[in-house]
Amino acid sequence: MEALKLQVETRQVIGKQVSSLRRQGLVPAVIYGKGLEAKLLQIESKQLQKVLREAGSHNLISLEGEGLAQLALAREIQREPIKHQYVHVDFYAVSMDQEVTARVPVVVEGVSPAVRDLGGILTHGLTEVEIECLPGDLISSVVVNIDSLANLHDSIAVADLKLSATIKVLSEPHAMVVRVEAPREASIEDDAAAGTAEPEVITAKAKDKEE
Amino acid sequence: MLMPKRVKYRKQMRGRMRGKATRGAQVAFGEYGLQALEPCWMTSRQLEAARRSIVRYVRRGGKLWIRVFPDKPVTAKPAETRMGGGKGAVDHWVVVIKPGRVLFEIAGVPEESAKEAMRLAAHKLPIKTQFVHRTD
Repeated sequence: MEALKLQVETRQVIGKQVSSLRRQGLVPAVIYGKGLEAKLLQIESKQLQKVLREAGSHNLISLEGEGLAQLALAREIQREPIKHQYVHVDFYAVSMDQEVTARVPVVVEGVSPAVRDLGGILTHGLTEVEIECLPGDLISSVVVNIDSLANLHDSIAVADLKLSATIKVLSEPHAMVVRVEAPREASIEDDAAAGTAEPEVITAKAKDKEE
Repeated sequence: MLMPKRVKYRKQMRGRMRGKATRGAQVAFGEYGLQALEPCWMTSRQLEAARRSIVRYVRRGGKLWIRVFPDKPVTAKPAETRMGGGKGAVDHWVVVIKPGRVLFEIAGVPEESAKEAMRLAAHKLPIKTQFVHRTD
């Protein structure tokens, strides 16, 4: 996949003062990597949003501007929990001949007969798979075809994923990616009946024994 | 209703609810979720009422996760009691909610159904909430 271009500027503002940058519509960032001195950056928020929505943390981004031309992966993306605005981004500079690790999203494809005919519920286990490969071999998603899930309780594990030979999967082979669960009507009275009694107090019990 | 099976101490101090939730602020298990936008003490009764409204709307199919657990005891003195005599008895259980916290998650239902179920649940809660996707 071709690297997405992102215009960056060098940042002079550090520490708590960076909140003033955010008010101006800029997002503080940093780039570091093997053999590269860490550089402080600032990026226009809208442009960053557009690029990161497409690239995530698993596609190469070409950072350009102010004497910088570097391929990188967004390694740590910090976001505000309510409005989901970007707070800070770490970029990891990559060299094309050194392997990198990345978390690639899982995309479900097809229709499971167990869901369609038996009314099963498709539940997701891993939403991302960790892979190791050369930057040039990075993929944008891991496609999981669920046409083979014909019975209830059928599942697809990481070991069942078919990926290119150049890609090494680091996630646990037994980890579940998708599974069809049996439909279960949750009882409206489920929790209401369960325990209205007083909880057991651990420390109080110990005192009673002493006495 | 939800409450702990065993606790280390019978009563707790009130504490503060400053800041935003940093943990439990993402949809982790399901496809859609209901996120708190305000801080509050959410009681087990409120959670149970919201859960029931989701289950009642979704009926068959779908899987629901409750991402919070009321593990904080709240005490109260009986009505028309004179002051003194120590702290009251445990009256109910709450969970301390900070803005950003994901309260419920749902999977296996179309987005429109999930949205409506969460809207009905939100009416049972004492705070403003928003509907969130896993990809948000």
